[in-house]
Order: sequence, then structure tokens, then C-alpha cells
Amino acid sequence: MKRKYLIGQTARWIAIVLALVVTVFPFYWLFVLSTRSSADALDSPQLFYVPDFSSFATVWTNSDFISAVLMSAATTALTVTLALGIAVPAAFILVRHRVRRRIGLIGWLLVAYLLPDFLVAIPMYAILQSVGLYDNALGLAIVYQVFMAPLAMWLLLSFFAEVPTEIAEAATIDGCGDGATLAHVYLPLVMPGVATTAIIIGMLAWNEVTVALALTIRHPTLPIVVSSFKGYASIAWGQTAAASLLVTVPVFLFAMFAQRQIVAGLTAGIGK
Amino acid sequence: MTSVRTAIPPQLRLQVGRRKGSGRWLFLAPLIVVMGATTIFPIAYAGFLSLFNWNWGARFNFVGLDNYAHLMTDGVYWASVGRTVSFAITAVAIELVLGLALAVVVNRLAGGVGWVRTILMLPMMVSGIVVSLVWKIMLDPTLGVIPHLLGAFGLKSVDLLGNPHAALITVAGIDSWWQTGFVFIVLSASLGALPEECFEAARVDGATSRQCFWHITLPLLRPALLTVAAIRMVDCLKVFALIYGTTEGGPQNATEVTQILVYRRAFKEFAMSESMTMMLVYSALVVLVLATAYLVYRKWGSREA
Repeated sequence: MKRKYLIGQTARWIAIVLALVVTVFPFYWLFVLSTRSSADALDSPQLFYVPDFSSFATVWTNSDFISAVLMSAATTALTVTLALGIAVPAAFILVRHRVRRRIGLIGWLLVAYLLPDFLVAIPMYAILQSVGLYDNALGLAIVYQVFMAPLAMWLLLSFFAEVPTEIAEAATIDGCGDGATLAHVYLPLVMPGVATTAIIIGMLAWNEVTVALALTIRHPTLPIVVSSFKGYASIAWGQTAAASLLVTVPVFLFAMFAQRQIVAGLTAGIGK
Repeated sequence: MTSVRTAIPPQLRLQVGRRKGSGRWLFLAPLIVVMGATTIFPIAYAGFLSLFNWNWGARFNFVGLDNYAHLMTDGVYWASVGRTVSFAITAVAIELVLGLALAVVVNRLAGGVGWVRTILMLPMMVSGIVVSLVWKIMLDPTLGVIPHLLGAFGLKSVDLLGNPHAALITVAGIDSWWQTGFVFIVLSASLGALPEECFEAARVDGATSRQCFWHITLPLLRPALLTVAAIRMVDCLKVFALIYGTTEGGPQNATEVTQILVYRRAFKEFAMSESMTMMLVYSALVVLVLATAYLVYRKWGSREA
């Protein structure tokens, strides 16, 4: 029995190590590519070399890159603020009260999440241009709501539903209206859930490609600047890799501190 | 009636009065306004454009349903729809199998495995464009590290993204590298929450671990499996960034999924009306198929669970 257990454990660890190597290797390779000096870049791949961080300097001193960092930061902040601003009150009301056409509203959100990006982005291309929000962080943040708001609703509905009804009823009996119940009873209790929602939405907004590609031109977000490297030949691999890492590392650093919230968000509302 | 009214404490009475009001809609109004602006408005505009022959130029003639009629016989379009569906099915199948296998294996590991979870979660936090570029670079037939490593096994000049027969499956594989972690995290949480008693009872009755998996774990996981499969399916049917960053639809259109086709028609060839027609028909198909699947599941599928 003991021997069978050991064999089982060994087999499992071999499978896990294999999975971890496949998972980590592309990140390792990005690091390798970004730290090879450009003279080596055209050589065949090698495992040992002297690291050279000049690619990072090249990318970081590029003014397009800096303005993209600012654009991405602004877009992410606006997207999260808007999504929470519209989804928190709505999710609260749907959890707290029987709202007429509730099913219709939820169905609408589901269909909105299904819509392919360009169905929304191409008409928005024309609409945003006419209202002066094309190529603009606020314009992007508004268009992102087509899938961010349903996602925020999905997450917040499941977090709000965890608040015991008795607490909310007690607040009502004490004379709290809906606004006061949300502000003084629900929000303090579901703050971790709201934070989780903010983190998931922020990550998606930071990484978003399709809509940003369609709706920006002179003020692209970071992923779009990174995608502009794809046309270059292998001579620019070092910069491509450095730019890719610079986009990715902030998310990883953030995730290190917020891992529990991210897991809570990814598993929220899914049958356990 | 009046006596009952006076029996209710004043705060509560106020509340009862307020409930009849429309204050609740104020809480829902921002959501409804923004969703209206980002769904109904663009769809209506797309529907309007699809009745014309607009190419950003002065030509803006009403053509009725001609765009739809042409689309029905447009082989390029329907081929792209077929590719999107086969991409989605391939990617979701790989992700479900690998994610479930990883969840089961990690669940049975002895000792703390928090760091294993952390590492497996890394890929899904990366932007799709970064994922596609790193894999494109690694798969480069002349200087990529993967053909280089495969060369050590005697395989010469493997070009997975450049081969029309392999490209779509390769991109599905890249998607699996990206998103299997999501399936894993969700299933792992569900697996950890399964009632231990079921497994104990089965073991007492002499069930092997394989029997436990097929007859207890899988049926209990079904709601989570279906939800995560639906989420991944929807995302894969909207695939764009991965293919935009790797093959841009090539080689020989082998990876030209619908959103890539629409991007080319709209932003490179400026066929706005035509591309809007394509997107409307595609969206309607996706919504119809997924809604039907859901209703069929509600009616028959959930009965045995």
C-alpha cells in the first residue's frame, strides 16, 4: 500500500513538473530574448550568455512606450471606476429586491458578453469620432463596459448574495433606505468582493487588445504598442521581448499580493 | 385598516411607502444607460449600415438586403465561421482535459501546493498579444527555440505556424497554454469543495480510484465543468488577438477566423457595410446556438444530475 502510494506521488510530481516547465518556459525565454545583446540576436538559440539589459533601456526611453503606459493606466483606472460605479448599485438592487424584468436584464447582460468585439467596436469607431472620444481613454473605458459590466455584475451578484438577508432586513427596520443599506451594511461586508471584481476587471482592461486596436490611433494602449513590434524581423526580438515583459511584470507583481482575490473572482458564481 | 396602520412603527411605515416608489430604478439606471449605449446603439447602427454599400466613401446607396443575400453564398465568410468553430472546439477540449487532469493531480498531491497553483495561474494574466508574440518567436522556423530543440531529435525545419494544415491546431494549442490555468483554478476549487463522505462511502463499498473519478467526481463536477466550458467557448468564438499576433489569418487563410476576416474587410479594405453584415449574422448565430444549447440543457440535461 505504501509503495503504491509512493509510485502514485512520484508519477503525479513528474506530471506537475512537466506542466510547470511548459508553463514557465515562455516567460524564461522572454527574459533570455530581452537580455541577449543584439549582436547575438541572430545567432541560433543558446542557453548561456552574458545578460545585456540594453533592450529594456531602448524600449523604456521610447516616448511612444511612455505615453502608452500613461494611456493604459488611465484606461484601466477609468474602466474599473465605470464598471464598479454602474454594477455595484445595480447588483445590490437585484440581490436585495425582486425587480421586474430581472430575467430580461440578466439575459441582456449575457448576450452583451457574447457579442464579438468588432460588432461593437466598428460602429463605436464612427460614434466615438463624432463625439470626440475616439483615440481617448474615456472612450475606450465606455466601450469596454459592453463586456466588463456583465462580468462585474456576474461577480458582484454572487458576492452580494452571500450577505445574510437578515442583516439587510434589520437595516430596513431601523429605517435605512436602499442607499444607506448599500453604503453602511453591504459595502463594508462585501469590500473584499468589490476589490476582487476591481482586480479582475483591471487586469482584463490592462491586457485588452481587440477594441483598443480598433479605437485608438495616435494614443495606443500598451498591448497595441507591443503588437506593433510584430512586423519587425528577428532583429527586433530583443525589444519585442523587453516590451512584452514590461507589460506583463506589473500584472504579476500585482497578482503576487492579490492572488487570493483573483482566485475568489475566477471561481465566483461557478457551481462548486 | 386604520388600526393596523397605526400599529406599524413609523420608520417601517415610511419604508413601506417608499417601496412603491421608483427609487430602485435609479440604482439600475446607470447600468441600463451604459449597456444601451454599448449594445443597442452599435447593433442598431450596424443594422442600419448593413442596408447600404458604404466604403467610407461618398457612395452611400441603399441596397436593401443585398449584403445579406451576398453573405449567404460567400464561401470565404462561411469558411471563416467554420474555422472559428473548429478552433473553439479544439481549444476548449484541450483546456478542459488538461485543466481537469491538473486539478485532479494537484488535489491529490501531498504537502503544500500553493506555489504550484500560483505558477499555473501566470499565463492567463498575460495579454493575448504578448502570448501570441512569444509563441510566434519561439516557433520561428529558422531562429525559434522550439524548432531548434526539436532539431536535437532529428526533426528538421518544423514550421508549425507556417503549415496550413497545422496552423489552426497550433494556435488552439497556444490558447490552451494561455487559458488552461483558468479551467484548472475553477475546477480545483470545485474539487476541493466536493463532499468527502461520497468518496468514503464508495471506498467502503470497494470502489477503485478510477471508478470514484468516473462515477463520483465527474458527475459532481458537472455544473462547474459546464460553466467553465461555456465561458471558454464564448471567449474562443470571439478569438482575435492570438491570431492577429501570430499568423494574421495565414498561411493561405488557414487561420482566418471570422473576427480576423472582419478586421481585414473593415480596416484594410474599408468594406464597412459588408463587414457589419458579417458581424451581425455571426453574432446572431452565436447567440442562437448558445441559447439553444442552454435551453436544451435546462430541459433535458439537468434531470439526471
